[in-house]
Amino acid sequence: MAEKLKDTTVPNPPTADLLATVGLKPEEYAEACRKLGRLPNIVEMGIIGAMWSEHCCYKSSKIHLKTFPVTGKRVLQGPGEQAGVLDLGNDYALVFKIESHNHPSAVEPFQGAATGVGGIIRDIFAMGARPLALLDSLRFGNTYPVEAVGNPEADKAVDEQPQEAADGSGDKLNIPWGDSPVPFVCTVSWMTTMRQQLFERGPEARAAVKAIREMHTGDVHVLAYCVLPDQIQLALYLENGREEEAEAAVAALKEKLAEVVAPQTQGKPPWDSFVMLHPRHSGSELMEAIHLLEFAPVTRQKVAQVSDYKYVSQVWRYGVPWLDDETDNTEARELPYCAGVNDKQAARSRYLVNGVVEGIAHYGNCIGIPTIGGELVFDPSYTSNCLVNAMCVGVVRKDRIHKARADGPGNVAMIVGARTGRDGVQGATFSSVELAEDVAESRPAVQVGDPFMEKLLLEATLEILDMPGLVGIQDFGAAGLTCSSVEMTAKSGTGMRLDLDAVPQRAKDLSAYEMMLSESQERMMIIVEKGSEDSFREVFSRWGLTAVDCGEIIGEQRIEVLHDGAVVANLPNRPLADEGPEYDRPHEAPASWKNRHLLDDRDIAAALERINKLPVATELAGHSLPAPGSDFEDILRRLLMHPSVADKWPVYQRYDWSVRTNTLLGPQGSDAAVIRIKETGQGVAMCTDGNGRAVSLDPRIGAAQCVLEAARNIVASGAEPLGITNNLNFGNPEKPDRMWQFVESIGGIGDALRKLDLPVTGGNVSLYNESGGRGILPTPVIGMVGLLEKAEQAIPSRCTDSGLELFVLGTHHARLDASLLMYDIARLRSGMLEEPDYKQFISCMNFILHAAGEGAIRACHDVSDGGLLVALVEMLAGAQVDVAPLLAEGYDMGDHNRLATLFAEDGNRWLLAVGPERKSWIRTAALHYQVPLTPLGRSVDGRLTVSGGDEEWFGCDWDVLETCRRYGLQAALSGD
Amino acid sequence: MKAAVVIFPGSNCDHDALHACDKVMGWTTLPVWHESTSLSGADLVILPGGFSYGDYLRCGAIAGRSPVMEAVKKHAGNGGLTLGICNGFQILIEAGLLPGALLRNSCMEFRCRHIYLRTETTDSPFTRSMQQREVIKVPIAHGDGNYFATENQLAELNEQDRIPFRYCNEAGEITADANPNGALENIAGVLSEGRNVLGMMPHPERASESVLGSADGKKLFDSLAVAYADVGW
Repeated sequence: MAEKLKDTTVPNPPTADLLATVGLKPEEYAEACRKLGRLPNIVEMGIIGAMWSEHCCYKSSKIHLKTFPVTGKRVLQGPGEQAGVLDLGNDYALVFKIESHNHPSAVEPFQGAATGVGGIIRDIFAMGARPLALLDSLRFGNTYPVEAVGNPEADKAVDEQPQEAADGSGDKLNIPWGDSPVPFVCTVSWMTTMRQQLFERGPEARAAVKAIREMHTGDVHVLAYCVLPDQIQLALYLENGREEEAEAAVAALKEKLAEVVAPQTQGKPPWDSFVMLHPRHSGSELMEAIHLLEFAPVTRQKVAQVSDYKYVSQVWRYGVPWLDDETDNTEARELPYCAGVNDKQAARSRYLVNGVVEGIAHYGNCIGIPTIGGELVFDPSYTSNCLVNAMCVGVVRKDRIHKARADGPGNVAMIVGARTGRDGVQGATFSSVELAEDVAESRPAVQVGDPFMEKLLLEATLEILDMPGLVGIQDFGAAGLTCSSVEMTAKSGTGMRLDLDAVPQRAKDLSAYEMMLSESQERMMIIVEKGSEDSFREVFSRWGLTAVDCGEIIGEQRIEVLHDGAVVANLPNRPLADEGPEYDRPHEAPASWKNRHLLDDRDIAAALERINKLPVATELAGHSLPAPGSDFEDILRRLLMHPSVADKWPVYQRYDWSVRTNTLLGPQGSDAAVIRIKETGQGVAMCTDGNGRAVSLDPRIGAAQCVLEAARNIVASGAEPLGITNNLNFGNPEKPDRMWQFVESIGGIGDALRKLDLPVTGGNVSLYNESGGRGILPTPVIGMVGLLEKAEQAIPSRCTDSGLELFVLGTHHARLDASLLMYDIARLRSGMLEEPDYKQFISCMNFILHAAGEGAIRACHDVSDGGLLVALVEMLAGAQVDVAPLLAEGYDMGDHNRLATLFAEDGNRWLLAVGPERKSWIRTAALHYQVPLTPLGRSVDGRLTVSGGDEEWFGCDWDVLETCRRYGLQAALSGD
Repeated sequence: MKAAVVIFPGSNCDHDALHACDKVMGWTTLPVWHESTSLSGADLVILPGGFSYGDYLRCGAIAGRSPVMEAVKKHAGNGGLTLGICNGFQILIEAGLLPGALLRNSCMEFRCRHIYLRTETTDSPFTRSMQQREVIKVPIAHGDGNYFATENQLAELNEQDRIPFRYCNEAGEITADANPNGALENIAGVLSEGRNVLGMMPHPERASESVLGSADGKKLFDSLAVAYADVGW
């Protein structure tokens, strides 16, 4: 072999252009030189750039990803391999992973999506598993024009303001928030006589709020207040520190309020007691007290379920006295900015949706792996940066699990499958930078897929698993040959001598640089024992594939690359694979985070006003719609026809979801798709779930909610959740607020997983999803798998029989924050999230799984996007059943809370359909599990009638709702 | 009954057909590689669905000329039971064993969904256990299933009662709405003159167990079992 390294000198120091091309920052280049002890040549720079790209080495995310729980009794393989592996409790194991192909799809949707599917399938069969099902999680910009709302500069201006310290040092009132007692701060609460519910109704509660706000004047500052039906709570601050002023102010308030409730109390004193708590708080105690006040209604609602007091808790937030901007409390706050979508962008999104769907269909259908579920979501933030995440699930016999090993010096590396071309050179680097707004220029960085080739590769690979002499398998993912050779050998403590002249090539005159970085698809590397090459070559050749010796495992931990008889690269592999840069990038909440607030009456009133001004659809994909009979009906229809909610059938019917005869519940058969494992009789449930809305409002709680949403779906199908893979789609990590979203989300996912005792077994990070300075909604996508010991016990999400009893299981706090209605339809992108109630979730889960095992549940559907009524329409879709909700007592509320009851998406709730013969069984079981199970009534005459207490709220025809649900997506995609 | 399932490179419903014959029907079942020149004495040959040879030329065109097809033609010529499903139907047409052509779906997209078929004749080994005009529910999954034939061919097929299945609605009516791909006269399957070769776009093997949403497709396999026992095809 050649001794001397081929001289492909690069200028020293390298030009900025060159560094940008290979994707290295100047300091990373310097670090590489230090590790190498010399200057790298151009091929080596390419290799280093690829291995140290965000895509390959997770440099921005590694330290945060480490916090995920990754162990569990079923985990056979956690993160670090090509896919995660979970024990099915017998001879078989589940192999699954999710991966993104966002940037390639934004440039060339068909090939981008197709190769994304191809890549994730290879990850599964490279582990030795037969891929059994695909899911995809897709997000695009709106396919129809949408007007921008809010001021685009507003949030930037907020970002540019000096960040206030978390201790409130930016506070205009100069409250010393530290540990020393504050001059005078008190929290006050008092109750009504006999705990009468004097402030339960809207008018009284609103009058109380008004009186409290009027109190906030001069020296008395109301930092937070909370009006409960039977209780008023305040946190006061007195600038001059005179306690008696507080007493006087509170006494005056009590008198005022007594007048408000006089008609109810008939002259009797309304107040029972007067309690002044902690007259002199320290700053930190005060913050805690404020927090308690803020969430007091939430806590209380768990007892009382619902009432009109929900919106009357308000917190005066660090430095923003609410009286200044709330002199007229009916005036709307300024809307946070939300980009619009113009005609051209809408047309491009339609092109992208169609291309991506066609690409997935092309690849999945041809290779014969059913695409059985996923998500399809639209939001303006994804206009220039669509998200295409694909998940694949396979099953392997445990003794056939193969990993990417390259043990045994002297063993042979073979490259199998397709030939190498120029496609995708630098794809790994490409996916680690922000997209230019004109992305069409980037076409050469997108690969081209050949599902037929992959089908052959799949069958041949599964055939060699039992052959003696097989050491390891790895697919060529990002950074092709570079990544596979480096990762396999570094993991095994070996090295590799790679002969590029042996690599089958499909383009002429490929340089070593191009060959090392090509991302040509449908290629794998197998490591086999010396002398056994022929037997492997024979199998591949029977499938019409070439398998070529291209390298040798060496004892030294290096990668030596030969081309044209010369050494063109000679690098130690450990630094490449394990010692890449690791950044703890600065992360900080944006200034707007501190100004977040619960949506209150006036937000919602303003939102409803905006909705009322929206044009009413009179026709949908050729089906005429009568005028809505009420505002509720109007809202329900808007939600049902929203493309993120409407029936996804126009898309799913383009995927082969029934091939392999394992699909028990396919797309929309259940909340999670369920396949059977023929070998064991078990069923595997799987789903993908993300919620950019919730995560954008509160990345920690929002991300935790995504985990719960996925778990709700898995449980709804009757399966027990086993574990997750995740795809973390975020913006530019070099911007502290995006990085903060990322870090907080990881924390939230970790929180939820620990509570539910579920592991992460791997996943994918996709950063830099932004263009034009605006990021996508932060979108962690959870891919969850669950297990049914008996496949036939899978529960559908649709009721097809009549005469079933319907129940709502679980509770919520009736908060519209982050709901599709507020966030998307009313474009109100603000609000706050509540901590999930894990305890209740687990009780509900155990209850459902028990009932499922008993065969007591005929259908189960979780309440998510769009809320209760949307879930109900989906559950009864297309069925000729005459059942509709009569909401139980306790749901009797004022206008806005009716709205929240019907359309809020918070909490953990499921709709259950139970045969009449199991009605009493299910009620008894609910008592046993201590889970809230609320019956929904019935109605007749083909109408949905919603009532609360004795009052009918509204009614409408099922047919109209069904038309909206069925044709909403079609209408959105047709561009009409 | 001994059933052979031919595997072309790119076949992807081979496992489904093997499962239906072996596990559901309990027949002796064997896979046959596309380069094979013998069918190992099988009584029934199934050409499964998929994308044989990637379908890069015309669907089924290369497979229709592959080595194993000589044996299939011989088998069919001797009156042997031959069933082509989906891509298998396309291959039978390309091999000249059935008349007509399968064009791109009229909607120009792939379609996968449950459809209804009306049994138009029980006079075939594939349908003899069904009732005349019986409606069965089976899935389709194809992009090129739009059956086309010349006027003469069509007249002949009708005269000779060689159209065993037409797309219909749940009530059994042959309507344009029930036609998923634009096929002439809602034709979903075609028999050979000898009635021993059937090509059909829908997938009976994917609807042979009720857990999969329908077991109606099993009736076709039951018919074959009866025909075999009766006549010894």
